[in-house]
Amino acid sequence: MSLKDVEDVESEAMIAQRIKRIMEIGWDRFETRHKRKDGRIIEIEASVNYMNIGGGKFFVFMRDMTEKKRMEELRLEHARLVLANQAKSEFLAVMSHELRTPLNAVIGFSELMKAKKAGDLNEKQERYMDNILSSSKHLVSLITDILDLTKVEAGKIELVIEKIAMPGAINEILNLLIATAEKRKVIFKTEIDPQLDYIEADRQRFKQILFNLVSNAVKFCKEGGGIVTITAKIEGDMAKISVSDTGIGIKEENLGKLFQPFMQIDMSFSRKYGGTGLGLAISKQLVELHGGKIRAESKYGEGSTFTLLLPLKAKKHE
Amino acid sequence: MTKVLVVEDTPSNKELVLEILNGEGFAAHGAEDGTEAIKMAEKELYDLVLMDLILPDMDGIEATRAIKSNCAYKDVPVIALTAHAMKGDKERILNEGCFDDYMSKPIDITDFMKKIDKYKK
Repeated sequence: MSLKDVEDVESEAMIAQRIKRIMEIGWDRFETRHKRKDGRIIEIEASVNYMNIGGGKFFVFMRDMTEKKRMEELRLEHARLVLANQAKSEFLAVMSHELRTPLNAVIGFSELMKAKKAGDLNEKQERYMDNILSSSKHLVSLITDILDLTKVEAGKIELVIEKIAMPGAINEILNLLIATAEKRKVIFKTEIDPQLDYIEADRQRFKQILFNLVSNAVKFCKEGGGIVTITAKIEGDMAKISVSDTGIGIKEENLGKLFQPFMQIDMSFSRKYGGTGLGLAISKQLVELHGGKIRAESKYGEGSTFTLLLPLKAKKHE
Repeated sequence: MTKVLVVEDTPSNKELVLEILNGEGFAAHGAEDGTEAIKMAEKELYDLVLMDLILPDMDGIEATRAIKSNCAYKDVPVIALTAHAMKGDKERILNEGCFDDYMSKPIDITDFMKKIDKYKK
């Protein structure tokens, strides 16, 4: 086997040239790639000395640089990502600030108009003001939600894990939504296994997830009302919490889109039902951050079930 | 009448806050940057200051410190009124130690007045 059989970068002519130079100068040190017997390519650093003794002798030291090179690349990549992430966070902070500033005037002056601080409004003017107000408030929730989602995606959210007592936390959420539910003639039912006495999770985020699921269930009920059932029990080392409704349901072809951002099944939905279209995307990210899972089942026209699996004991983050 | 100094560089937002406060029986005056705010605070003793954080000539923290360096303002509350409203912003801003309270934009007039009414004389 000759040099050209192991060399992966340099051509035969280049090898010949290098040998010629080493014989003139006496030494060389360079990096290249070699093929190993098993075919694997490795990064190497070669130091070659030439001595004009006994017809000429080459002394060659070779060092496998593969690992070192890889570490170097990883370090560079990591530094690049950290910088990119910082730039993204700064951009988002500025964007949030810049969007909120003009919205302050839009919302504030609309409220003043509605409060008739600038004189009486006729019926049509009042309706127009209501539209401006609800649209601009929707825009504020969009900004908040988009930033929230982007922060989870950028790994910027740190969970504060604590023991959350059951069924207390579930009932707290239901209490927040009971007024809306009554308006829509929705009844809450709970089936909570007393063995599930607590889970370990971030309290604020857990409530955010459950609130999202239950408010969706209420929101997408049928015209005449319905039943929303919350079941919770232990399954292995996970807490399994399901929110089932008897609402309008989701077509099978749309189930896959549910957890993607801005994927309210139909754009007309957001006008009819409100919401930013980001709730489930955020919830999914938050559940996965907890080491859990979320899934949806549905029968179009009959209702949907969203199931949450959360670890009973939070994994310790390093 | 309770005198309020409103430091806000965006004209529409300044007009909005002045409009709300003057309509609720306060005597509110506006300053559009830090320098003007410091000058106005020297000329007249206000009972309350609402301070935007990003101003064209200095930030609201700097302006607040300058105003508070005057002994007469030692006990005058300064409220940060800012569009920095992401999670953690409130804590970060209050930690600066120069503001007595924090309100985020966009304001909700009802909540805004609830807070401001506490300072009415």
